Amino acid sequence: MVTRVTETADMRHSEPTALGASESDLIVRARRGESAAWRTLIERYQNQVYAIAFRMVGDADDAQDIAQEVFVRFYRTLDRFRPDGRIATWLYRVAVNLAIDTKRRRLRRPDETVEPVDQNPLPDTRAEQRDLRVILERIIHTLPPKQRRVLVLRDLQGFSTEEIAEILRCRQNTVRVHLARARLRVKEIVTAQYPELTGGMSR
Amino acid sequence: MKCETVRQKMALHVGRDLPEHEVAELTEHIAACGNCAAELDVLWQMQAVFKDVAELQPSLLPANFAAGVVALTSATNGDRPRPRGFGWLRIGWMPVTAVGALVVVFLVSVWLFTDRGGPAGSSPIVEGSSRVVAPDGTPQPPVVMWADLVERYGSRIDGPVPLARWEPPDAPGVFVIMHRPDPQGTPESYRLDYCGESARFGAYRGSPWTWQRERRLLSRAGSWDNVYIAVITLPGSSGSERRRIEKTLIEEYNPYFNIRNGA
Repeated sequence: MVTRVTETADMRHSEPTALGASESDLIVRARRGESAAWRTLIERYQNQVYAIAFRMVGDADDAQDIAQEVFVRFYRTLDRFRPDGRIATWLYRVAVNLAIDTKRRRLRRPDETVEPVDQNPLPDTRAEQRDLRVILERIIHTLPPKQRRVLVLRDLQGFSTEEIAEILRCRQNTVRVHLARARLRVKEIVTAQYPELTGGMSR
Repeated sequence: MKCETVRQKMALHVGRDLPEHEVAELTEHIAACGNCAAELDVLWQMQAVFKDVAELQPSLLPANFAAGVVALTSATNGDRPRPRGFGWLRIGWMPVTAVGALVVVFLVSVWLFTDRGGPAGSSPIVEGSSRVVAPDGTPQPPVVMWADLVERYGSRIDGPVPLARWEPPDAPGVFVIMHRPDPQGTPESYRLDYCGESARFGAYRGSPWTWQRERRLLSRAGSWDNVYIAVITLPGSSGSERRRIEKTLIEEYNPYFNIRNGA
C-alpha cells in the first residue's frame, strides 16, 4: 500500500554529501553511547533507507527488516566512520545489497516470491494510468538485480547517475548502460504483455 | 547512427541522462526515423509513469522503528535486559504445517484476565481474523474449543505476561508470542508474532531465537517490554495434540514468524 507524499524533497532524496558538523557531532555522541543522538541519526535516514528497500523487494515487512539490518550494521561501524564519511551513501549501498540478497532468498522459496508479472495480468483498463503504475512496479521486480537497482535509485528515488555510481561503487557509464537496458526492458514487457495500455497512453 | 544504438540513447534521453553533446545527433536521427520516433514516444510516456510512481511513498515505517533499533543496538553492547527462558523456544521454530487454535490461547487469556478482575473493556483482543471480545468490550464466553481443552487436559492458561518477566512452566503446552501494536491507544490489542508448542518449557536453556529473529521481534515490538507471552499448559498432552492446537492458532491468526517460517 502506498500513500502520496507532499514533502518530496525530504522523503525522496537525501543528498549523500559529506557529514555536516552536527552530523559529526551526532556520530561522536552515538559512539559514546548517547541513545538520543543515535536515534536522531536513525530518524534522519530511516525513511529513505526503507523506501529504497521497499522499492527493491516490494514487501513492507522485508523492507522493514532490511532497514533495521542496515542500521544495526551502521551501529557496528560507528567507531570506524571517518568525520568526512558519507553516511547516506554507505547506508543506501548496504540497503541495496541487502535487498538484492533478500530477493535472492525469496526466489529460492517460490511460495514467498513476488507474483510474476505474466501470471497475473491486469485485464481491466478502466484506470489505465493507475494500472500501469501497478504493472510497472511488478515488472521492476522481475528485472535483473543490476538493472533493478539503478532503475529504483534513478527513476523512483531520484538520485543522479553520479550519486548512483558512488552508492554502487561503479562508473557512471556503467550506471547508464544498466539504466538504458532497464528502461527498454520495462517498455518491452509492457508493450508485449499490455499492448492495450501502451496503445492507450497519450502525452 | 543505427537504430539499436539510438534505442539505448533514447532510453537515457527520456530521463535526462544522455550527455548534452549526444542529444543533437539523437534528435537528428529521430526526425528521419518513424520507428524510433514512435518508440521514443512510448518511452516518454513510460517515464511519466515512473515519475508518478516515484511520488508515491511506500507505506511508512512504524512510529517506533527508531526506538526499536536503539533498543536492539544497545543490546549489542550488553546492556539489554535479556528476556529470560528463551531456550525453550528453539523447538518451537520447527516447520509449521497447519491447523489450529490460537483462538484458544487468546480466549484463555481473555478468560483469565476477566477472571482476575481486570477492568471492563480491557480484555485482550488479538488482531487477526477473529476477536475474543465483543466490540463493546464485553468478554465472550469460553468457546467450545477452550471447554474441550479444559475437559480433555485440565489445561490452564497463563498470560499474557511480559516475556522478560515470564517464568517458564515445567510442563508441556502451546504458547504465543505477541506484542501490542499501539500500547497507548489500544493497550488491549495484541498482534501475534509467533505460536509454538513445547514438551517441557523449563527444560531448555540458552538463547533459542537466532540473533536475526530476536532483532526482528524487537523491531516489530519496539521494545522488549512490549513483548508478551501467553501459554496454555497441557499436562500429559502428546506432541501431535499440541501441534494440532498450534496449527489451528496459526491458521487463525497468521503469526508473522510462523507464516514466514522465521525467514
